[in-house]
Amino acid sequence: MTSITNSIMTKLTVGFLILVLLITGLTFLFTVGASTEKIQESTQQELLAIASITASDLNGDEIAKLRPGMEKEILYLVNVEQLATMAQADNEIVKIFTAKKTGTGMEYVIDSGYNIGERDVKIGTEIQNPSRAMVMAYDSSQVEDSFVTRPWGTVFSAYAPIKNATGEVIGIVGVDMDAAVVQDRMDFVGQTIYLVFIIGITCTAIIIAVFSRIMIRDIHILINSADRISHGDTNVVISIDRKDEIGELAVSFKRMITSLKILMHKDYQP
Amino acid sequence: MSIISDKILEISMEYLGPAAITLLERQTKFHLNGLVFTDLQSSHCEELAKWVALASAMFIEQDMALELAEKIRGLAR
Repeated sequence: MTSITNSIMTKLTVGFLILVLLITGLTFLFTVGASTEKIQESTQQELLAIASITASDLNGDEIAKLRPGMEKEILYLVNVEQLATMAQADNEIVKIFTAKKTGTGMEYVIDSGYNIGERDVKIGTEIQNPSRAMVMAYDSSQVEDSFVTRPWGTVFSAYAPIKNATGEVIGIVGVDMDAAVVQDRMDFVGQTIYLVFIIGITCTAIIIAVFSRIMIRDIHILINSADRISHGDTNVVISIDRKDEIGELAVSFKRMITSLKILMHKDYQP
Repeated sequence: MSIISDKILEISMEYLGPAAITLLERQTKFHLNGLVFTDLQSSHCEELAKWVALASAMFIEQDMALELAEKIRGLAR
């Protein structure tokens, strides 16, 4: 009896599995990478669109008047309400804020407070290490390439310039999406492809194993028959009905046994 | 060897292998009045087919034996 490690079935199954793993593994890596990139791109476009729409709706002249300590004034509260309404339109947006440049860096102006429950920053709160995208948003709409950290958490952001009546840029509006939401979107694609990959591999393994087993089973029938004949027992029945090479082998084998039976039969002895 | 003997042997070998000649020679010798297989003629096919069906059924499946006999019988037509 052939050991399992030397069996053709094992060799076939392992060989096919390695081949399938190699092909699907490479496909998986490429697909996950490309899909994740596309998800990130679509999220960036979504944030850019919200930032641009919000910036065009804001009154730049009013926002330019806001100074530290004006958080309880109508002018501030009206703009907070407007940003909060915009943020509520998309429940994946954590916060919309405005900011402006100072002599040395940048500072927050309006904090919509939406989804946080309270405003985390006041007018004039300094922005620690403003990103390049934030600074460049004075010229045109920008989106972050990676997650950024704010006082309200880690987010993925886009910015658009706020203009006054004369078209002068007086600040920027920032739209923050929770990093976890973006990560979940990217993970979902990866996990779905991973699931399909696992199911595909499992199905392939089962099909290969069943296929190999069927093939080897018939070869075993021939081996057992040959073994019995080699011990003088010609009373063997080969029940293999296949149209492939193994079927042809079985037909030839049956013919050989038939001839042996005839030649060994007493009526046909010389 | 007659043409008909040659054809019968060729068909029979498909079913019985190289020992087909042994079986056919025995059938003609014992059931066709001692006829030598190589002298077989078309007129003997019907009778030979009957005996081949019986004899070969001892070594191959019944349906296969009948199929072989039918092919031999068909050579006479």
